[in-house]
Amino acid sequence: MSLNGWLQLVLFIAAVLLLAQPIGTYLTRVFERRKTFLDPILVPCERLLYRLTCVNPTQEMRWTAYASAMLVFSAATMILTYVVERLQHWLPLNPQHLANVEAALALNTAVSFTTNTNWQSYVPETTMSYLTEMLGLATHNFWSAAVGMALAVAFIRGIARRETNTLGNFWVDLTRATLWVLLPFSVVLSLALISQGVVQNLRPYDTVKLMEPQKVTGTDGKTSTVATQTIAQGPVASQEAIKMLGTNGGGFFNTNSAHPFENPTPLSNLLEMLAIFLIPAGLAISLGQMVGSPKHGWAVLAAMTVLWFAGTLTCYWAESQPNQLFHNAHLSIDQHVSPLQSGGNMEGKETRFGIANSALFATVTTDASCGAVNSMHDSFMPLGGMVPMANILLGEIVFGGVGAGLYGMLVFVVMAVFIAGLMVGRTPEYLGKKIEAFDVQMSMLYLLIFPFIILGFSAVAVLMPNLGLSSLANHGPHGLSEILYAYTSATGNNGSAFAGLNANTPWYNLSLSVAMFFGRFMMIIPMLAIAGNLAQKKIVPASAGTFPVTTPLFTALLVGVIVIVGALTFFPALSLGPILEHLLLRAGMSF
Amino acid sequence: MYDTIATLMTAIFFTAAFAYIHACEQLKTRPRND
Repeated sequence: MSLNGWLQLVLFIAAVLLLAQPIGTYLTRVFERRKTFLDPILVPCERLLYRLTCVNPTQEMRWTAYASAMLVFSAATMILTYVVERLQHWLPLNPQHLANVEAALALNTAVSFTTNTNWQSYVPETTMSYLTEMLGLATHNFWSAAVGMALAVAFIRGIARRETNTLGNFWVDLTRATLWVLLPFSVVLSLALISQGVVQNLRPYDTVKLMEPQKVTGTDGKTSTVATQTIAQGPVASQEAIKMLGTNGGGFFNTNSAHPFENPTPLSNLLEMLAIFLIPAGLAISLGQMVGSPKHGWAVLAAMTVLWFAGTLTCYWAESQPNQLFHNAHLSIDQHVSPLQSGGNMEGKETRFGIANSALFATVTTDASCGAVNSMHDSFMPLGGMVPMANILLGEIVFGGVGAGLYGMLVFVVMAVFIAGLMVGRTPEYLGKKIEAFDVQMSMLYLLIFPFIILGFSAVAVLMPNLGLSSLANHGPHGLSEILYAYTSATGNNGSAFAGLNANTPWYNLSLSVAMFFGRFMMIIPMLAIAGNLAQKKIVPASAGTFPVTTPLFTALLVGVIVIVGALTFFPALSLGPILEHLLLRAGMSF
Repeated sequence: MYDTIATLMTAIFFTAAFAYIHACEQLKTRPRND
């Protein structure tokens, strides 16, 4: 750990917190349909879209109609992506003449991008045509993020409204999230990334002659000389911007944000990390503004910041430690930080980013449901790799995915005020709304589905050698971590991967599809049910027994509930994976 | 074969999700005996 590293962490979180207020205010104006500076351009586009799609923007929806519209939209766009993938060989914008995507992989990818997961069981530059990247995948980066924002705003309306049974109009929220937020933000970020050297073209891939031809031995034992290298090209900057802003994470290249064409400089790295947190932090401020209690928004944001700090600190510390195996073997490897090297564990990391920015990126991408990576999480030290996994296991509510993070956090808020109510023996209230049996039932459904899918699928994969273990690169606790991480990432709609597991097998493609789908929609539905129920309630005046949700005590209780629920649910699995691996590493064993 | 599996899985996914909405709504409106 170095002063330089600490300064970069402080600079990052300071920028997030400074930008949260203006972004949040802008989001509030957009979703409350108040005037913004983009109205002269976008209002005519919005009206035209409603006319073309026969949407009545003044029509309000109950939670069931809102959820059904979201499902219909998701189904239609998922089918579109599947069809484009399966037919890409015969469609335009395929200069590399890539073959049609195999069916199980096409399903996995369609579900993955529809659910904002962006899990990639394939090498993008050798699998997906430019058309598939743009029409099938980049569009989902906008749509799935816009769906998340719409859902978060619907939840906020459920809290803010009284004695009504409607939550707004899904189609209007979806359109405004896309036109007013994601599109303009993406244009600005794309241009910034291009200025840093991120490529943006539709050219065929370049082939260059190597200065030093290499002799390689193939799997068949034959030796050959490689004299040329293919350098992939493509519309990267435009996809990179929405990949981060929409907390999608699906890379244009296989090495994602570690590739110099996706993330060339320290400044592009900072911009990409900021882009992940920008909208989720702004939405927390919007929550406070839309429910009429700005301090509540800041209290929620404070809880997110505390959890972010705990994760970043642990990961940075773990990755800064020297590898015990090198020490035990008496190898003369200097693992200490110095002006000439980052020190610590640099396996799987870019020397451009070093320990601090790799640990920070890994924490940020899993705090949110992004899943982009600039280092390989599989190569982290056991406890360092546990942090990204734990972040997802907590529900990705630390800033969280675009929209998804906030509504996940609000479910925890409902649980926190419920527990506070139990402690003082009163009916719990949240911003004047009484929390009753149905709200708690739906909250528990939301919280229980998540571990049920992750632990259930992981157990099946571990117990069936022909299915779950056949494509595993490592054994022992590290192998368990790879499987657990895959289902955690899929169910949490994160999309990052421990690299040691080949997930492009029929079992993993299909089972991860199920995990991604149910991890998204089976959690959204109870969340919307809570919102619909809250909207119907009367506001109860605050009294001496009301638990205030604007104080540091509330922030502390919220953090406590999140950590305790996460720890109780997942500690046994983590103790068999990364924690055991850490202890065995100290005893000189590696996997 | 996998095209058929993909089609079936998609149909099952969304049917289950719509049924789930209905089940949550039923849970809210069912008579309570507590």
